[in-house]
Amino acid sequence: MATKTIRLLFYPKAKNIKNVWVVAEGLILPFLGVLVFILMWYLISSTLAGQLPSPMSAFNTLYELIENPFYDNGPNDKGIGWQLFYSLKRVFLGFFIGSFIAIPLGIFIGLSKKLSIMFNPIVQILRPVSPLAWFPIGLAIFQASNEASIFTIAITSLWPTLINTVYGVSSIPEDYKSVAKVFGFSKYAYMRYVALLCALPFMLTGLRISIGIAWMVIVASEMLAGGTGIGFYIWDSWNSLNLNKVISAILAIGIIGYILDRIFERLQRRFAV
Amino acid sequence: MLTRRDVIKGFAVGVSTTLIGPYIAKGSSRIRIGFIPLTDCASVVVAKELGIYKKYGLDVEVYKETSWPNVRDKLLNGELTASHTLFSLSLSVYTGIGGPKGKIIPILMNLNFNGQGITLSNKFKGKVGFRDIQNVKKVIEEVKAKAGECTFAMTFPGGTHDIWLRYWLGACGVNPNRDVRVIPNPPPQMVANMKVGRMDGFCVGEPWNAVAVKEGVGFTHLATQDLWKNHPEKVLAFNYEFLKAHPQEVEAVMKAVLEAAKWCDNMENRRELAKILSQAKYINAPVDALESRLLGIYDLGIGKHTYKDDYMVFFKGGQVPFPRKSHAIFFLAQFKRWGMVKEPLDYKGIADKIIMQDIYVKVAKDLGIPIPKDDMRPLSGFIDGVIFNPKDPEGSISKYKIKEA
Repeated sequence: MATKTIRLLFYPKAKNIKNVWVVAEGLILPFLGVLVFILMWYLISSTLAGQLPSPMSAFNTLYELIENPFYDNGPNDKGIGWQLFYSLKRVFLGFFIGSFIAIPLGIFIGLSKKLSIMFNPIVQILRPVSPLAWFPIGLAIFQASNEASIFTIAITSLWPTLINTVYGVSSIPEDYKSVAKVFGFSKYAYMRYVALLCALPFMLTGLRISIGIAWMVIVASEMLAGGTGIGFYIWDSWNSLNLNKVISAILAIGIIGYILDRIFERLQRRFAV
Repeated sequence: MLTRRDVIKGFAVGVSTTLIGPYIAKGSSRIRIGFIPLTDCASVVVAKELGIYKKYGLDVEVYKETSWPNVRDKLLNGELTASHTLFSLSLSVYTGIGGPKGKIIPILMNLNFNGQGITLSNKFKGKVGFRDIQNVKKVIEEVKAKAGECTFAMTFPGGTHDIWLRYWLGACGVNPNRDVRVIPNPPPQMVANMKVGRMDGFCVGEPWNAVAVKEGVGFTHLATQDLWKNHPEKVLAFNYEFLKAHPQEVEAVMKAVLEAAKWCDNMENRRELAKILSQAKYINAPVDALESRLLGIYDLGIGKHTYKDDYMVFFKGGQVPFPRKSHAIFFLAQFKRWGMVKEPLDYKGIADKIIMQDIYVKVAKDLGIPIPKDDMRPLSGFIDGVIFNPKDPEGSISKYKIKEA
C-alpha cells in the first residue's frame, strides 16, 4: 500500500509506462534540473555573493538538522521536525477553516448572477492583501497570536477556492439545468447532484492553489507571531545570523510544499470528471 | 481506492484533532515569561536555568519573542504573564506613541542598568572616534551631501533605544526629527542594511553592537552608559489583569528574578552567564560575542575600552531593581522634548499609574534588600551635562539646546 501510494504520488503515469526509457527520462531530467540549480547556486555564492552560504555548507546543516528532527529542549529550542509539525498543524487548520467558508459561500454566490456582481469588487479588493497586513487584524479580533496566525492563513488562502467555486457553479451547462428542471429537482437535490458535482473539479483546482498559498503564508505569519513553527525558526536563525539554517528551512519548506501539491494533484485527478 | 467518503472522513478527523488538541494541552496553570534574545534578559532566563522559579514554588516557562511589538501585544492580551521589556515601552504605549493609548503595562522592577550601544557605519570610521560627539554633526552633513539622507535605526518607537539615539543626536547638535531619518528596525535587519551601506547608525542592546564589530560592518561609537551613567534600561513588566488577580504569584516571580539578578551581578559568574545565554534556546549566539562585553571589556572596532564599574549591572546592592518614578518622568519628558507627545502630560500621575513601587518595596523588605532613597531627586551623569529635575520636567526640557518647539 505504502509503495503504491508513493508511486502514485510521484509517478502518476507509471502504470501506463512500458518503455524503460521514458521512466529513465522521468528520473534523469529532474535530477539534471536540480544539478543545474545547485551549480548556479554554487557559482553565485562563490563569486557574486560571498555572504551566501555555499550549497555544501547548507546541505551539511540540513543533514545535521534532519539527523535529529524531534529533539525537544524546552519551548525555545526544538528540532526542525517539531517546527514543521506545528506549522503544518496551523496551515491545515487555517486551510480547512478557509475552505469551509469559501466553498459554501462560493456555491451561494455562484448560483446567482446578482450576488456575483455584488460581491465581485470586495473579493477583488481583499484578495491581493499580504498576510503581513492581516496579522494585526487577526490579533485585534482574537487577542491571541496563535489564533491570529491561523486567521491569517484562512483569510489569505480562501480566495482561490472561492473564486474557482463561483466560476464552477456559475458555468453549469444549460442542458443540466434543463434536465434538473424537467425532472422536478428540489433545491437541495439540484445543489447536491448538479451544482456540487459540476463545480467539483473547479473547486479542487482552487483548493490546490489555496493549500499552496496557505503553506507560503505560514512563514510570514509565524515570523510575526513568534513561539513555534518553521517561520519563527527562520526568524530565530536570522537573529543569530545563521544563514545555513535559514536555507535549510527554506529547502524543508519547499519539499513539504511539493508533497502537499502532489497530494492535491492526486485528489484533483481522482475526482476530475 | 480513495473515495469521496474517505476524503471527507479524513478531513473531519484532521479538523477535529487540530481544533481540540490545543485545548487539551492548555490545562496547566503555567506562568509564561517572555524575553527578547538580548544580553540583558539574563536574570529572567537565569532564574529558569538555575531552578530559582521552582524554589519559589512557581511553574514558569520562558518564551523567546520575535520583537517588541510582539511583546507589547502579548503583555496586553495576557498571552504572556510577564516579560523582559523596555522601560519606556510601557510609557510609549500609555501615551499612544507605540500602542493603544491609555493601556497599562505595569513596571514592577528594573532588570538592568547600562549595556546598550550606538554603532556607526564605516563611513564614520577615522572621522569620529570613541565618545567623540563633537565631530558627529559634521560627518552626518557629509553623508547627507553625498547620499541625500542619513538613516539611523532603533528598536521600538518611544522605546529606550529610540530615546538614547535621540538624546545622543541632540547632544551632537543634530535634530532627530528634521536632520536625519530615524526608523524602527529589527536588529538583524540593521546589521544587514549597514553591510550594504543603507544604514548609517543604530542604537540597540548587546550583543548586537558586538556582532556589528565582529562582522566588520561598523564600530561602537559609545556605550549608552557613556550617554548617561547607570541609566535604567530593561524592566520586568506584567500583564495588568494577572497582576490584579494573582498578587502573590507576582511577588514570588519578583523574588526569583531578584535572586537571579544577584547571581548575574557577581563578576565571578559572568563567564558562566555568557555560556548559559549563548545556548540556542536563549540568545543563540557565540559565547565570545556575549562574554567580553558582560565583563566590561569592549572591542570597539576602533580600539579597546574597559569599563570599570559601569558595565551592564543587574543588582548593585539593590540600586538597580528599584523602579523609580523619576525615571518614568525622564522618559515622558523626552517624549515631550521631541514632540512625540503634543498634549500636556500629567508626568507624576502617569508615573504613579505605571510604576508599581509599593509592591517592589514590600518584596525587597521581605528579602532584606535595601531600598534606595534617591527617587525624585535630580538625575545627573548625562553626556551633555544637563541636570534633569523630575519635579520640574518642563523646566528641565527648556535646558536642552536641541528640541522640538
